Amino acid sequence: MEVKTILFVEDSPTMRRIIANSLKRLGYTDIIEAENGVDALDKIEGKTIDLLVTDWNMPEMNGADLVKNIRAMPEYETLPIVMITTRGMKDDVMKAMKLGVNGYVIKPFTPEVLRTKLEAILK
Amino acid sequence: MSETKKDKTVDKGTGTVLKSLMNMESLFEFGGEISPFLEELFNFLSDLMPILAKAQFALRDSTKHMPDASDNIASAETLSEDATNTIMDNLEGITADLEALNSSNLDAATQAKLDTLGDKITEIQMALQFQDITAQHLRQASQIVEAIQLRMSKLFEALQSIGEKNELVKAIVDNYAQEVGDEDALDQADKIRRDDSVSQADIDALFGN
Repeated sequence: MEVKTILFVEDSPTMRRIIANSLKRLGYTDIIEAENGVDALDKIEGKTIDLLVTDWNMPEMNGADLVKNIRAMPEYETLPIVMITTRGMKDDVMKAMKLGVNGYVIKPFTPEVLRTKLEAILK
Repeated sequence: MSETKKDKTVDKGTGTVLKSLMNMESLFEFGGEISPFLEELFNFLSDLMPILAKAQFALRDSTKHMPDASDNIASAETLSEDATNTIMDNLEGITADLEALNSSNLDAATQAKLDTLGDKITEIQMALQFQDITAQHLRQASQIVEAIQLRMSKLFEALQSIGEKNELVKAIVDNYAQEVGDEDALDQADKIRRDDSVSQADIDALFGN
């Protein structure tokens, strides 16, 4: 699957830079960055995204609620979604799966893990 | 106030309260028939009141310092974020320089060295994830401190309301609070604790450099 535009959502400025740099190194250069779910929904209005990479714990609207909102949009029912988070409890992972998340990466992660995960879900 | 001094004051206060209780008990000697009941009650209060007053004192003192703890946690988070951003700025600058070098014609050995440097920069960047992760842990710790503070304040209020509902208990608690809860002394101790952070200028003056 060809990915043109990525919506990347992360509230931590440090983590946002790290993950955005990682995505760019993997060849994804068209990245829409947002600080939280509300910001993300604002920023994709009138645009088309091919992949969502999101954190879970964020103010205003967290990653889980963002996924719910995105999945409720007919055009994004099958959008590949990767969650990158510190939440590593089994219940969290299960909840993410039920919400429709396709890949789940625990922080801290390596570029290799991110690459593998993206390759797997974009096949 | 030092812990030892505070403990001595608390012990002195407890003694005064018990003495007051014994004095009050003598007032009730006229009622011989109800005396055993009153004696039980006084024994109970004798045991209970110093504990309640001590808890009240300890809670008031501890609760005061909790906002400081939350502030310190928030400050640590800001400091670590600023430092991490500085490191990121520099790493991104070096990466841009390396990319500029990569576009020129280089021999294989130099190219290999540049690639290795690029990999090391990536490793350092990835290691900086610690900042966000520790910040999240600190935020959780701060939330716990705030939750404890709230519950302790409620407990403190509940202990005070015991005194408000019962004149005898109020008299004993007030008496005890006067003995051990000298506001001036408490304020002074608090000021000393708050003044323990010094500026760089103070440190330089201290070291004479």
